Amino acid sequence: MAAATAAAEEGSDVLLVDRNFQLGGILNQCIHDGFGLHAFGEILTGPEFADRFVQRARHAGVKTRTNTLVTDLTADHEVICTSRGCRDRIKARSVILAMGCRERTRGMIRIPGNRPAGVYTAGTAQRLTNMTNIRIGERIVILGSGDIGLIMARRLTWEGAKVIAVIEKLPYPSGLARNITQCLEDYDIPLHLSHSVIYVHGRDRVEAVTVAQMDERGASIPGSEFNLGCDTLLLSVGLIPENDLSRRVGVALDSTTSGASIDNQYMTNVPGIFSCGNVLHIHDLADWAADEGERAGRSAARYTLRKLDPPDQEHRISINPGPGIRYVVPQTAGRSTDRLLVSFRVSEPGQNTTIRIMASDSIIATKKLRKSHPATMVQMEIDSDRLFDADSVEVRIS
Amino acid sequence: MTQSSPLDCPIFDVVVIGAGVVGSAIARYLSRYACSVAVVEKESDVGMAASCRNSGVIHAGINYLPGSLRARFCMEGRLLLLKLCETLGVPHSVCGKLVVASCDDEIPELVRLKQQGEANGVPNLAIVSGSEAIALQPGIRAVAALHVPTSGIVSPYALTIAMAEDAAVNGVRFFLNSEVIDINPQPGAYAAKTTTGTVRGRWIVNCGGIHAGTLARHLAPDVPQLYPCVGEYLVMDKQAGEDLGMLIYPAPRRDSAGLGVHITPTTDGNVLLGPSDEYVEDPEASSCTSVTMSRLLNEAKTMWPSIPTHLVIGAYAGIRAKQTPPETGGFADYLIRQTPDHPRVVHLIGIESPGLTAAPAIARHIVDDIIQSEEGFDRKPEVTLKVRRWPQRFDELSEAEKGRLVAEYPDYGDIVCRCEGVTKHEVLYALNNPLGVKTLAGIKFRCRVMMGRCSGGYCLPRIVDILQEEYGWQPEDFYLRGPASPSFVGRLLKEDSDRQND
Repeated sequence: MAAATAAAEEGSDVLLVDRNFQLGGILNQCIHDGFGLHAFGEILTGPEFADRFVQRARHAGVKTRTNTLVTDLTADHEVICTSRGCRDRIKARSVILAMGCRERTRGMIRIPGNRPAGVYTAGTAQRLTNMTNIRIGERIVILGSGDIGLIMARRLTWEGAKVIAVIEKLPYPSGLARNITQCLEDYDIPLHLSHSVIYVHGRDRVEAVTVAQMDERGASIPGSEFNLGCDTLLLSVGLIPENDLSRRVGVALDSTTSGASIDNQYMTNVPGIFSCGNVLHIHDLADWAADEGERAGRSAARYTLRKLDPPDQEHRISINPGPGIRYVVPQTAGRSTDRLLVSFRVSEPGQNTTIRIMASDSIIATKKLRKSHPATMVQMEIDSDRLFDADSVEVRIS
Repeated sequence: MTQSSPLDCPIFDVVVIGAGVVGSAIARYLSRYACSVAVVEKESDVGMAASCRNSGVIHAGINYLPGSLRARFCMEGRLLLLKLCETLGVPHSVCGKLVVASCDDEIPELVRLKQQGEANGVPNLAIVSGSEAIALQPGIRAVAALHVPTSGIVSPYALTIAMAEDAAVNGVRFFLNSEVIDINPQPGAYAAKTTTGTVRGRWIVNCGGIHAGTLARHLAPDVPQLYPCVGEYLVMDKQAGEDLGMLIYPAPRRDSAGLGVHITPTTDGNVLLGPSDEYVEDPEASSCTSVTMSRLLNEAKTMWPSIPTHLVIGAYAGIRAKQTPPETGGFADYLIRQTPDHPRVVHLIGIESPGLTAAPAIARHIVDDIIQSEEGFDRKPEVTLKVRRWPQRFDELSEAEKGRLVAEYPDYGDIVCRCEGVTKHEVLYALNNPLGVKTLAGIKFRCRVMMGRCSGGYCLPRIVDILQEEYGWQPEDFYLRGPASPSFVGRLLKEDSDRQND
């Protein structure tokens, strides 16, 4: 919605297609607060935050089609839409991909054991709880300390379930610090760091899980196993940008983010196709995803109005993650860039670190961080004149 | 669940115990004749044990001793299977297979397989060089390979369900969730006592899979015990399947209880790695272990070094019904047993690989035997037979066909499952199956919801919405497999109605 609104405000004719019956995507099931502090300076729930954007989109003249899934897309911007009783093709000058992400599943992380009922990803459990009025279980173990898992630990406790423990494989939590405090500590829910679920018991419905301590290489330590009786296992073990559609149209993906590889205008390698939000890389705050959407929307609008120069393949600056940095977005930039915003994540938690952005061998920007954590995205802005002449830029931490 | 109970039923001409692929094939062939047939199955759906937990391979016939029942039923079964797939619309493909030698020492084994296959009548077998093998399937590692062009793949659960549903619309009664606990001879019939009541039949066909030995010993005490042997598999994303055109097998080890870890494309476009072979105590074992999951990936890598291991999306395990004990491994021939005391009771023992391929031929053999022994089991006229075809998936139709269907049936435009492109129309068709199966797994196997890369994360809540809206289901009505596997426990504590009472 942020991208659509920004594009419309720039003067483009915008159609927003969404598969759900209402706009706002996953925000509508996020009935907890904590949204909007950066975007609006106030604390909103997910649906309230979404509603602000619905109003803005309406005001900007964005046309919408809900209950409609984009089932295919072509490189020349033809969009195939499928909805109840209707299947049609829409030709656009530009397409912005903002499909969000899906959750990593049990199969992907290969948890051994039986395959009973009662294993759910946290986001699915959240939707069933908050939008379908379904109680998924009584005694719950949560694997992974991602934010949705933490939020669900509190939510299910409120609904009378017993959340027995949250298990995290890494030596540090992967969710935001505020959620550890407000969702676990306030409710005396134990968090087992450096532990993982190594077996699911129960032929028909989950009966227990075996938990073991992990060594530094991520292997379970023999003798450290213990069983937790439970009827439900929730997984909050990561999000994956939902790029099936992008892949089919030939959009090149970054193997670390699993999102599109983009330039500083948020454009993918397919001319006129842009990407932003969780489909580009996983955000920890919806506010930043919305901000990214606005930037991508403005770029796409300038592209449709022929104000955006086509990327000059000869003069690309590649932007790379250096030591201690997991990824950087965007992955490339054109030389004509005015200001370059880079978003990145560090690989490991640290204190009193310094981020340096290097162009060739010179430092072009620095930022000091009292605390740096993989769960927290970092952004820095670089002046374009400092990029001049560089072939590549690297983000480093020390 | 609203399946009928066997209580108060008349005596059936034939009672089939076990609705796996063999039992379903027998039911389907019997439904062509004027006789009354019941199938009793302990699970909540057909084909839930070994029949849906295997490689889904149509075997060509190279692995079996000439003259054995396995060789005969594989060769006959393959042709009958292809015909059945055409008739019922079951997804299949004759994609061919490469048995690869990873070193020169394994080449004699390929030669032996080729000779054995030729003795069984398998056509067009060829030993090809490493480079020829790689030309047939880029990316593999091989010093030589046996090319088996007549091998193929079939959707094993689609096959079993399609045969059972076609039998059901042609008059065969299915009693699900009914485990047979005893079989007693009675005057003129046999009584199969189940957990939901007693079913009586003049004939009993025991297709109990891993439990067939135990069942058989109620009437034939000398039938040997069966040894459960687990085969674990990993399932890979369809993205991995884009690069795999045929089956890739290792040269077999003589002492192995299986054919070795192989790489299998599925009719749905995924890739399977497996199976392992490990003898266990529990005939119901279905768990996967971390040691085996790592082993499957490593063994698959020796044949396909660039295998995209990050694309694993799932795992499952099935049980082989072995007659050969753990000490010896290897294979024994199928045992089809009728004792002189009970000539109308047929036991099918040890129907392991190539059971899926052999099933139609075993069924044909058993059904011919019954028909010839009985007066009056005449063939029904073709015009009176109904056909229930396995539905073609919306996602695989042409653009024009999709547009036509969406316009005619609006529910085709409501895409419920994003990964597999499954529509609401297909979900409702799956739910309204003639077997009366109402479980989530039953819907899943019939239309592929919850089978994609998100494992139901996206579609499960949508399916819940549909079933609540269309049929008024409550949270307590949702089961993954059977009555023991409820998906949910109820509504939230604080409903609006409760709040109003505050």
